[in-house]
Amino acid sequence: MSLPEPVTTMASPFRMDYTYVAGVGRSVFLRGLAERRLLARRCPGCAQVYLPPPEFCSRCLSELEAPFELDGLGAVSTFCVVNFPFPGQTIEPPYVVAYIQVHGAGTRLMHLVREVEPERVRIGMAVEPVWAPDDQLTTSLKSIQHFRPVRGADA
Amino acid sequence: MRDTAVVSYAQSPCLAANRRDDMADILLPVIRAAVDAVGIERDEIDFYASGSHDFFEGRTFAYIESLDAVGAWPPISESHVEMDAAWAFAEAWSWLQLGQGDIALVYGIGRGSLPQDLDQVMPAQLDPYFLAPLRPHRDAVAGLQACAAIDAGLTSEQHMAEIVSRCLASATENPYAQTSGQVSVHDLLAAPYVSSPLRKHDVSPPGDAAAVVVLAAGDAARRLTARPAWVRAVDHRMDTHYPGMRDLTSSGSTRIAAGRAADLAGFAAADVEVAELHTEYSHQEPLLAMALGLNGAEINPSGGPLAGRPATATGLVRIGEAARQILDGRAGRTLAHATNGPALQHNLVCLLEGAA
Amino acid sequence: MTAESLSAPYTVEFPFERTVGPKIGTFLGGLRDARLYGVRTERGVLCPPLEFDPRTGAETGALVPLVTTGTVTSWTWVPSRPGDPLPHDFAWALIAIDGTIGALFHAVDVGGEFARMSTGMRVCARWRQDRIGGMRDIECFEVVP
Repeated sequence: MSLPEPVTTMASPFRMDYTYVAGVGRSVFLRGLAERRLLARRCPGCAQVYLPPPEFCSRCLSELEAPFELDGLGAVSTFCVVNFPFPGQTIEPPYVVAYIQVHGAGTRLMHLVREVEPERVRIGMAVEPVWAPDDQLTTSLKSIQHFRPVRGADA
Repeated sequence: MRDTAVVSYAQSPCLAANRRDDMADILLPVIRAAVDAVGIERDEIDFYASGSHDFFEGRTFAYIESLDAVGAWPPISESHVEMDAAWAFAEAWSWLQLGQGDIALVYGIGRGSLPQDLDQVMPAQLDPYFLAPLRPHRDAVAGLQACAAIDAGLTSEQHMAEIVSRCLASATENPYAQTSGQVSVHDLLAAPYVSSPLRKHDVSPPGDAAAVVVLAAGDAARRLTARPAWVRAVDHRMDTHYPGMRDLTSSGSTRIAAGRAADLAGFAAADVEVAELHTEYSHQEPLLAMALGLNGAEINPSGGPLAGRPATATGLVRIGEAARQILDGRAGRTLAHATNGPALQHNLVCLLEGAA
Repeated sequence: MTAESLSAPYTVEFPFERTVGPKIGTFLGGLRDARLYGVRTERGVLCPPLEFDPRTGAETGALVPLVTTGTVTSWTWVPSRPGDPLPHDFAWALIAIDGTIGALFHAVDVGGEFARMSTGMRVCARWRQDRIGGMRDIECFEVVP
């Protein structure tokens, strides 16, 4: 009796449902976003300013000081142009994902840069946040739709 | 072999679901407690090793967040295992054996509460061709092992309930236990099966916690604590993956690891006063006691995993608890056992001793 | 500042495809054809088959056809969940297929009656109508009539 025709590959899917726990520190930042506020916190030990702030300084392990607000103006620190389609993508490529150095913060925030042709984006470009309309504000970075070049600023 | 000892141990309370803290926030106070107990500064720690698992955290490279509790700037020497942190302990011990440094910090962090349904997660540790596609219940392979152990005359449902009752009573003395109390065997046996012959109490309750062990070599260990818990041996072995190819009633890998550890240590499991066993299920206690060759040792005086099983920290907790017996001067020789995989597939044995 | 943490549900999905190797591939092809295969080793025939004998590490030999009857060597009774092989409560079991060493993990259907399960009981495979070359081509095992 001849052997069966072999199977070569099999589907091996995972699907898992989780609960994300933001932590107390990160929750301060997320709640601020729902009020159109970018809340940063400073380390009492090394003066590093975290945005988004966790609860503790990851260098000094000190509890961060009380939150304070930044206006969100900043500069593109580095960026890439996403040309590649992938499952679950919500924006049509090409689009720009950047690290934003928000003025007054020591850390960088990752977000989209839009309202500009991707080929015109430059490191150092001055950008500002575009907040979501009131009815779409939430405890999520989606409260900032994207960053865009500051009009009239020298890119 | 280089003299290397556990000099400090700390853990956070086992919680069924911590909904307040992120990974770093759970870990930071535990690292502080372990480090402060021996009065060392961060820059004295030569090596960090940790254990956690992305499938419990629900994110890739999830453990990176835990480094925020370590202070990884300026850059540190560190390593991570994607499994129970007892294996991070094995790595740190080996690292100290190689003479790369004098002090190592090992941490385990796990949150069994983040997956909404462990039945979705636990099949991912099974054979991907023959088992995972069937998506067995989370406790099914252990249920088969318990059935086989009962059929082989190694235990009984009554005996398993007695073990649970004893462990939960012991856990009333353990402030970090997730569950504890005086419960009668009669009441336990009245509960329904979750995966027969296992009842809910036979399954260690998953949850969230962190554990931290500080290891030190030679004079550093003697300087840091009055009674170092010298690690005389660590060995770990694994059985084949597919449960149908194993004798589920005799943990061959535990037996081999225990024999090898005894050769290294110069004393055996039969000589220890206290054994902390990673019993994810009640029926595994007699099975492990037999495979290890325990001889009258007190088993799981902390209450053991049946009083709390923080994901990927439970094995390291066993090492910490076994070491604590020596650090506190309550025992001279102790054993810690840790496990990974379904139904005791992969087993680690650690032998500890008080006198230098 | 509230000390409570925000939390939110989310889902992770990985639509992986996995290569299966020649022996497991042939075994799965057999399931698609409603036939059960084992693999020869020096110790006897293994079912399910592996590329290497887990005891000795030696490469396993030829695939051989098997009967689809066997004996339950251990079992655990579980409640039926959505997506399970059976709509009522059933047992997961290790089944020693006749003529093999070791045992195969699968579901056993006794019509939801716990009292009908026992170690040593004789069972046979029930095949699914629409088979794709996977473990679920065996719907479950059932009591030998």
